[in-house]
Amino acid sequence: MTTTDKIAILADAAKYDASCSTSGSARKNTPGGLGTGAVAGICHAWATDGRCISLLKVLLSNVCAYDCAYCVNRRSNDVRRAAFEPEELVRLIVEFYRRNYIEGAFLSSGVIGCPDATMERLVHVARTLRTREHFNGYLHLKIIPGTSENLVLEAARWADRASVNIELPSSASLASLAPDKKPQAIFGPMRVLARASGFEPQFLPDASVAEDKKLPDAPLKLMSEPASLRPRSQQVYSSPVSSFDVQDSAGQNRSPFPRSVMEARQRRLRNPEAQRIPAGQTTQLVVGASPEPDATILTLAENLYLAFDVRRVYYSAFIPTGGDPRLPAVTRPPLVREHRLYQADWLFRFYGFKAQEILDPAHPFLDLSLDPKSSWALRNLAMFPVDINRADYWTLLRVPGIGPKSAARIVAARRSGSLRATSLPALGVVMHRARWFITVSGRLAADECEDIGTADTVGASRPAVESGISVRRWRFLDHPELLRRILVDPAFRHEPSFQPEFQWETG
Amino acid sequence: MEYMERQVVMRYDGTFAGLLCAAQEASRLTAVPHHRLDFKSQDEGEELFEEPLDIQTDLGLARQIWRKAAAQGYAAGLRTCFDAYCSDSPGKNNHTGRVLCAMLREAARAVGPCAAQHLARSKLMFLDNLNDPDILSVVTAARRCRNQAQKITGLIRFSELVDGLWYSAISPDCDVLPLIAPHFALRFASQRFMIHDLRRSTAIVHEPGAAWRILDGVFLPDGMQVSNLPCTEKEFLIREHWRRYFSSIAIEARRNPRLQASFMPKKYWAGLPEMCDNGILYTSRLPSKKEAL
Repeated sequence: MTTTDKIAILADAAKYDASCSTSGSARKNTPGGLGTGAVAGICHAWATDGRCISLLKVLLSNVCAYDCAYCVNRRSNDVRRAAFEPEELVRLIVEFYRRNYIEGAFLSSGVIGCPDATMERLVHVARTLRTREHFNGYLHLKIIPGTSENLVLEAARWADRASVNIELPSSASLASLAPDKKPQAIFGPMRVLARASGFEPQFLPDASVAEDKKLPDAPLKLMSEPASLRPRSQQVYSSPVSSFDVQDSAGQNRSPFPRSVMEARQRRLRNPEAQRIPAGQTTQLVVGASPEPDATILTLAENLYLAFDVRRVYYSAFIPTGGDPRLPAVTRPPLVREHRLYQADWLFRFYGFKAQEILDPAHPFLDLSLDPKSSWALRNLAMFPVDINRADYWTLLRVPGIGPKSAARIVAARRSGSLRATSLPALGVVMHRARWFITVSGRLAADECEDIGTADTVGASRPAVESGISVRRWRFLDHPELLRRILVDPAFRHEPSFQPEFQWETG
Repeated sequence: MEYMERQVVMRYDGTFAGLLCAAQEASRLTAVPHHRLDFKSQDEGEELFEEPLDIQTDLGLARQIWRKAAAQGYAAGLRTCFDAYCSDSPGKNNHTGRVLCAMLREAARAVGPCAAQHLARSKLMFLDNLNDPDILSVVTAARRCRNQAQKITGLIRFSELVDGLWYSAISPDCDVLPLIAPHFALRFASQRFMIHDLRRSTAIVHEPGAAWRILDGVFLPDGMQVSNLPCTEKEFLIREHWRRYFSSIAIEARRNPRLQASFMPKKYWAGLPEMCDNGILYTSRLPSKKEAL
């Protein structure tokens, strides 16, 4: 089998891993060595599915001893198997890197024999690259669940980023779909990685006890480990639990962490020049292979950010790979759901939202037709309208259509004079969403938009027209249902034009 | 009074050093508000009744201006002006010149007991005032240039030539070479490489152990084109590997060519082995709609 064939098979086998980022490492070029890290990360190409390619993402081998239902490489699946020689892979990475095709490599493998033996082979490739080739590019190593602590630390020594995939958001699903993996085998290495990057994993007191009390007959046995009272050295840290109970969450279910993910992360040390895994650890959850609702997934993700200082949680829409009877029959991957989860994830990390705020207590799933921030705004109309010239940064950040960049620009631009509605698009504000929620020096921005008059002929606001009420005087903020329809309707997507159009006389 | 209403035209040689000198000269004309200043390079046409002030470029003076303003805390502002100058935005000379002039005036005003305080306030606010059309255009142009440089940093593809040179050809809209050179010089410190801007006939040249340089007037030898460079045997093999990897990593169930093209516009495809037939690079890119007009 030629190298080209192996690339085809082993890239194909690795492509379902969503992680592609190359940020967070400032590894320096060594004298006579090759490569550097780029803290902001660099994308080198985009595949025909629109996902970026920045790392050579391959498996060392797609021979696997495990039988995970969602995975294309499970031992019961009939696919072509191949394996790289370590030397072959090292040469390939160096040659690609020299041509600026890639930012580094993402190395993973099917489980050959036991987890430790597999991990040993992965670490060998990384060590060869770093020591013999003086390679300073980005290395992302996948940690095989169940790897011993020493090997995880050895991997952390050579890698810029390491990751252990959780894949399934509850222990029940894990038991039924991935019988060879145990929660312990996943969270153990995550804990070691957190410590290796200088973060002491947070202890969630009594989380499992509370879980049992709250969910006497929960349909799913949520992932939890007993937190015992053993000496600290032997203490088993409770794993992040999905503590959000959709049914009776109203106010009683308090997160063990008072702060949002963003606040917690602001105080954490980030050292892109650290000796061990400067870019920290990530993980991945498969969406749609198991019956868990978004509430479970998001709460788990939030707890991972808080408890293990995971830098990113990736969500991967489940793509059926050969009919396994344990899996739901899916015709198309749930891409929209995945997109909404990523949007919610961004709200954790850059907008200061908590999972409890993002989720609608009445619905365990996110709204597919509307983004989670707008959904949140519709449930909290009492805090709107927000005045662009007075509100602080954090309040601006809560307005649909205003993000961290435009909020920062608004705050900066305000210092040298008050803003008008016309200058907002130039600052990056998405007006077709924001205008319903903001006032500009006391005037509702939506009132200033002339084109609402034309838009009211479109279906979204037809009830208003039919009842004879002028749309311009309609107070949308009193009517969340109508506002929701306007936000969803593509007819309202275009930016309002502030340029008056003159009717030129012809002839 | 009519004279006072007219635009004052500063004419310089088209280099950034010239623009700095012109801005310095303009900042001394205290009677002229900066929106009445025009900055023109010599190759731009002259208008009727225009009486441009010709500015001599003095490299030493330009360096001095840059260092002084940078020391006063305007380093980020200067950098933004430089990036805007490298962009392809139509009115960039004017906007950048005016912003530089306003910046130098601000810096010059900082004398006396409150100088430090004044500076701290002004440099904090300087590029934030996006209500000012000049500042908005400069910031927008600089952002466009930086974004393009960032994209090209990823999309450069080196070919290994038989003489040991790593060669890459690009034809970007903005003059990104000064922005990307430090990155590649650090990353491939031990490689002899050249990044050739075909559109402007300039090139970054780097030799191991020496600092990078940008040369003007660099052309390929007669009869040689990007498509038939003397590459090593291995080069074609590695390109084939890369093309195979590129096609294997895409998930068919998520196929989305429009998303791909939005991240990686077609104007860059000529230099990418994975997007060209048989991995042979195009000779040059097709002219864009704007250029065809």
